[in-house]
Amino acid sequence: MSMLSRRSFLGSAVGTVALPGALAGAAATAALQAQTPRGQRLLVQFTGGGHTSPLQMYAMFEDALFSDVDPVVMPHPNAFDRVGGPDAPDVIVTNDWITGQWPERDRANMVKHLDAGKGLIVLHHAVGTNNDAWAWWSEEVIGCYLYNANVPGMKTEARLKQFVRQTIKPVGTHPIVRGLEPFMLPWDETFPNMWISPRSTVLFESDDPSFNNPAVGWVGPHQKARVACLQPGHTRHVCQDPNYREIVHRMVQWAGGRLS
Amino acid sequence: MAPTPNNLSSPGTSRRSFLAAGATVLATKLVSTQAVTKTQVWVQLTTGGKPYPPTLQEMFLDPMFFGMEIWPIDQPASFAALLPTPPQPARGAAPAAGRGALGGGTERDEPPDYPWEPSGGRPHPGYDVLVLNDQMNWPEATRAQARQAVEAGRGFVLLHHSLGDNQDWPWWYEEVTGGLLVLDNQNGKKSTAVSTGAKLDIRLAAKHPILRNVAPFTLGNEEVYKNMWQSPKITPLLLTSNSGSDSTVAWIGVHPTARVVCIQPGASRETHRNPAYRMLVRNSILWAARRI
Repeated sequence: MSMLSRRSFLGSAVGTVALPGALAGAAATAALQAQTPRGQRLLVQFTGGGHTSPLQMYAMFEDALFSDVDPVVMPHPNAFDRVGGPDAPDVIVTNDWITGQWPERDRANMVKHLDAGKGLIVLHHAVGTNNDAWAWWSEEVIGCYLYNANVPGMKTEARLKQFVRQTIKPVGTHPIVRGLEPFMLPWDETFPNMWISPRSTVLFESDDPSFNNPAVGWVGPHQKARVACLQPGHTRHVCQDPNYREIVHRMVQWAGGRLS
Repeated sequence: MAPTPNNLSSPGTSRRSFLAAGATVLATKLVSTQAVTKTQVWVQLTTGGKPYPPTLQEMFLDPMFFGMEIWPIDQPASFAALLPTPPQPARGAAPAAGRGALGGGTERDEPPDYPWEPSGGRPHPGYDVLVLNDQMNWPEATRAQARQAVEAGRGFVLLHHSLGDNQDWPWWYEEVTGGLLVLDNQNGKKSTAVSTGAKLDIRLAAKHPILRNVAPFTLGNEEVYKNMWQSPKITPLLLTSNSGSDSTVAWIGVHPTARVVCIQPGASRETHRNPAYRMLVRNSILWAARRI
């Protein structure tokens, strides 16, 4: 309890100082949104589910950095029913954890979204979604397995490492990484035994030595849609980290056709 | 070092010393306040099936929710953690690691005072309160967990969409929540009318701990429900005279064991950022957790 008390005290003290700033930030976001007409902002849908996720993951989309998007949270069930409708998202950001596979209704809607050439961002937990039963998704869309389902027994070799502090290094010349420098990411949960498709385009690598493959950010191999994946995103520390938010924002912009 | 009259009177340092003294007093006050008001409430926040703005989760980062550990887990969600897990044996040391190592499982490399994270098989503290904003018929396994938690006296705070949960489970809305957003005509209950963009002038219906520091307030952009099914046994907390809405827009549920609060508003960014609404949600959580 002493640890909790200390944290609460610190949280209270920080909160006392930060409140005016937070209110100012909300006002700034509203002002920026007002400057960007509704029709020009990307419609971004965030979908979690099946696993805990910190408040900061959701609140990220209310950061002033994301003032050029209209965010909506749409969890399961029937998470992708807006696809094809008047409020169809330009970009879907997933952080759900459903390792079997989505129901047929969700899969059909997602295929429609991808075939329309729209954007998909896959964060942290969602790199394992559909891992067990929808090979097309893992191999042709997001370009990864949390564990290599092609190798018998690999499922039991899935690894979870908590809580790594890693340096993230941008790789290549993709618009998402253009001009970025390496940076240290706060504590996070990592998946060191992932399989990354050789047809994926690596964007970011980790310096943590436990990774089988150092790639922690990549562009998926889907030919029509713009798909980007980012393995970090478990802890509150990471989800409120400015570098992390910058990457997610760039991915959203690129997936929505606003960054080339 | 605490300031003294001497260093306060020194012309070169008086302003800095004065500020330092102020900071010391503030820190002392915070420490003493913490000792008195420490709450530590564990909250599960579950949404699903309906869209909403992320300002819902942003709301809980307001320092107003100090002392609460609030963890979102969206549908498909388990409610098993509303009851504490039995103590588990300590895990062994992390296996040797290196690039290319294949061992499965969980490795830990963290400071000893690292905050609790709901992952990796850690014993769960057990959530005190479940805050809901989902809208769906829960599967049987989830219902069994919810019933167990209700009977164990856990707290429930239902926001907006979740008043339409479990259309086909009368025990939930007749014996627990005391209200139902009726999606389709059923069993003599007419479907509820839903309208958006409503202005709600809200007044207090009673004196209750949940309404402490809550004055009458106005919500400028809300989705409202008219002709919900409401039990005659509910205790109204908030009322409105908006003709497009039922008059009772917040109430205490009807279960004798669990503490249940239902709050009809909660659809828009404006509502989530309204200080009075935040205070209402905060107090509801504390009351449901039996902290006030």
